[in-house]
Formats: sequence, structure tokens, C-alpha cells
Amino acid sequence: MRAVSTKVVENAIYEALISATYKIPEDIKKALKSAHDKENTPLAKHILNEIIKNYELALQERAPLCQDTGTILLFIEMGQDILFSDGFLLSSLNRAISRTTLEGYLRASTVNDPLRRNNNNTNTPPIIHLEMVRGDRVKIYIMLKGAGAENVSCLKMLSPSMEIEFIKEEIVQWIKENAAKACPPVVVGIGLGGNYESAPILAKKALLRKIGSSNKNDFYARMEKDLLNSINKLGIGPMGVGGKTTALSVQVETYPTHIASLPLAINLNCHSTRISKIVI
Amino acid sequence: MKEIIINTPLNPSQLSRINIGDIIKINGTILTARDATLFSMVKNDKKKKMNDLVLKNQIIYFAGPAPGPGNKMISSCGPTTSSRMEPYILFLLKQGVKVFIGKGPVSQTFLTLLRKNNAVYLLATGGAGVFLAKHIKQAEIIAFKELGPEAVYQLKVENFPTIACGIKGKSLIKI
Repeated sequence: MRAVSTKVVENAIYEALISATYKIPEDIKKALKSAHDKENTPLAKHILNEIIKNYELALQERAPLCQDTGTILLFIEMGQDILFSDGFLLSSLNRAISRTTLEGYLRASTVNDPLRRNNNNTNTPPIIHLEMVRGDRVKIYIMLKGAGAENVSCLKMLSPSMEIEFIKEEIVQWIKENAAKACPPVVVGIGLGGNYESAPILAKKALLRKIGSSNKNDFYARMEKDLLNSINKLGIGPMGVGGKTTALSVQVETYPTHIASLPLAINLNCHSTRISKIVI
Repeated sequence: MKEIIINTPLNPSQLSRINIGDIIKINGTILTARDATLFSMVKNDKKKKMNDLVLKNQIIYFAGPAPGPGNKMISSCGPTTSSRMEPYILFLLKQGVKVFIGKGPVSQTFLTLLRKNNAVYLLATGGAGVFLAKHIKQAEIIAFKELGPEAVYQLKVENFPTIACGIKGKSLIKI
């Protein structure tokens, strides 16, 4: 067993969260620049230019890229040979988030009750997905997820006999009707398989992948490429004003499923993708 | 791309020159409001409780800013999704609001209401919060302080950049 202090985790999460608010990941930056170069309609170029200026300014001023600093998500891959010391892990995660909210100028974007909606000004609790893995390390992916894109995500329980062409149509149709609300150019996360609650988690995990990376399986890598082509042919463009860039990437993740089921989850991320990773 | 400057206090006749896709830069004062703000405004109105705000000829920005360091009130302030504000549009138009700033598409009903009231919908770039905050020179909370980021912020803006998106019954964003 390896002993890990929860205080070490707290500080690492704090640092990673603060920098994730103002530092756009390199892969997104590259994709946005290349989108800017490819666009030839003036308004699409104008908007991408503002987006590029925004990430430059955010880095210079260490100011949140987007005022919606989002819901904080933690994907924890926990090595089974770790023993945490110095207190309860969840409390230290909450403390890291409260400190970041105060010191990193995050917006208080979480209400503590869905109907009575009181804001506790701490952005806690986070949403946590925990997975046990081999080894004595803990890897945590941190995502600050804006609500504009989250609000136009969906789960569909499709028929298991549905052919891939129809599934692709289903996805493209959803993007056509909803992407303009999600701050395009978007990143499209697709979860296929699993069940009612696991497909959306797969779709979200798909968003953690680097832009331009492909599914490990050729069949799904091809599906990703086809979907990206069809989506960018829709002409929605940056912020919906028309153009070639509606999505920067389509990322599909799959899981075995029941003989009677074919869950499809679509989770969108805005161009202001804020993801960071720590390994302890 | 045609560029038009709008100054406040707003003279609604300034809006008649605007066409879809024009770049509109705003100088003067705008007010933020979003989900909880608008819900509270309408609730107060139903209770015949006076809202202190004067909305006649105002510009409403659907936004909730992120705070800044020291005495800087705002570090990042981009628009939120306008379609969520649709239930409140008629109320705001009746109060005299003439310009809405937000992001994303709006319904045909929204566009028709804008046309009937000689009002316009402008698009600001979503996610460009720091870039847009650069055009905010001063900020002050003037109502619903208890709503935190959803309070009404009065913003003094300079060349605040937007695009004409909904005007004369038409929309730049095609769905």
C-alpha cells in the first residue's frame, strides 16, 4: 500500500482548477486556430477571432475564459493500492473547490437545491465519477463544464436493431436542432452502449479525449470522422452565424450492452473547453 | 460587414438603421439580467411590488459575470443562452426594453414580439468572457443583490461588440 495525504490531493486539485479556468488546452487552441484559417465567411471569421483573442487575454490576465466557470466534475481513477491519510478525501476535494472559487474568481454557479435554488457561493459539491484501477496512483481529470452546452445534451434509448446510418442521422439531427445554443464550435461526446445511466457518463468521458484523437477501434474511428463531416456540412458555424466550423471534433466511446438495448447519449462541450489532469 | 455605433440613453430611432449581420458596438449603460433575475422581476410585478428599475429604452444583457480581483468587480462576462429567457420577453418589452443581448437562436414568437415593439436582439460571442469584459469600464449592482451573479449589474460599456441577430422578424441564426 502507498499512503497519500488528502492534503496533497487538495493542493493539487486547487492548483489544477485555478489554471484550468484561464488556460485553454493546447489541442483546443490549435483546433480553433485552424478553424479560423479555414473559415471564409466574414462573420464566422470575426467570431473565431474574438474567441482567439479571448483565450490570449484570459491567459495574460489569469481571468476565467468564460464567466460560466461551470459545474466542477472530477473523474477519479483510483489505484487500489492507495491508502488515504489526513482526513476524508471528499472533504478535501470540497475544500479545494471552495478555495478555488474564492481565490480563483470563479463565478458561484451552483445552487444547493434544484427547486429552492439557494447559492452557497462555493461551487460545491462537485460531480464525481470514481473508477477503481490497478496500481498505487490516483489520476484525476478535472472538468469545468458550462451549462449552455450541458443543457442541450441528451439520452436516447434506441432500438438494438437500428443500423449505424440511422444512428448517425439521429446524432446529426440532434446537433442541427441544438448546437447553436451550445456556443459552437462544439466538441461532441457520444456514449454508445452500457445502460440508462452509464451511456451519459461514457459521452462525458469521451469529451476528456484530446481533440483530433480517434477511437481505438477503426470502426468507431470511421464513425467519428463521418459524423464530423456531416455535422460541419450543416453550416451552423461559430455561434450559429453560419460557417464551416460547427464542431471541432466528434468523440465516441462505447461499452457492452444488453441484447434488448442500445443507449445513445450525446454530451456537448462548448469551445471554451476547460479540462485538466493530475496524477499523484 | 457594416458597423453601427449605438449610444445610450437609447433613442429607439437609432435601431431602425440596423440590418441582420451588422456589427453593432454599444457605448453607454446596459443592464444584466438572467434566469433568477427575470423570475424575481416578474414575481414582484405580479405582487404589485414596485421594481426600482426603470427599463424604458433600456438594453438588457442576458449575463451573469464572474468576479475579479481587488476592486475589479468583473473579470469575465459573456452572454448566456437567450432562449431560456423567452417566458419573460413580453414582460420586458412591456416595460420598454428595446435591445436584448445574448447568445443562441430565439423562436419565431420572440422575433415577432421584437418586430411589433421595434426592438432588436443582438448576439455577443459566447465564451468570450474576458474579451467582452475588456469593454466594460465600470460595474455596479443596482438590484437583486441577494441573487449573487444573477443580480442586476449596471455596466458602463465602451464599443461593446455585438452582431445584429434578430430584427424585423428575421434571424441571423437559422435552425
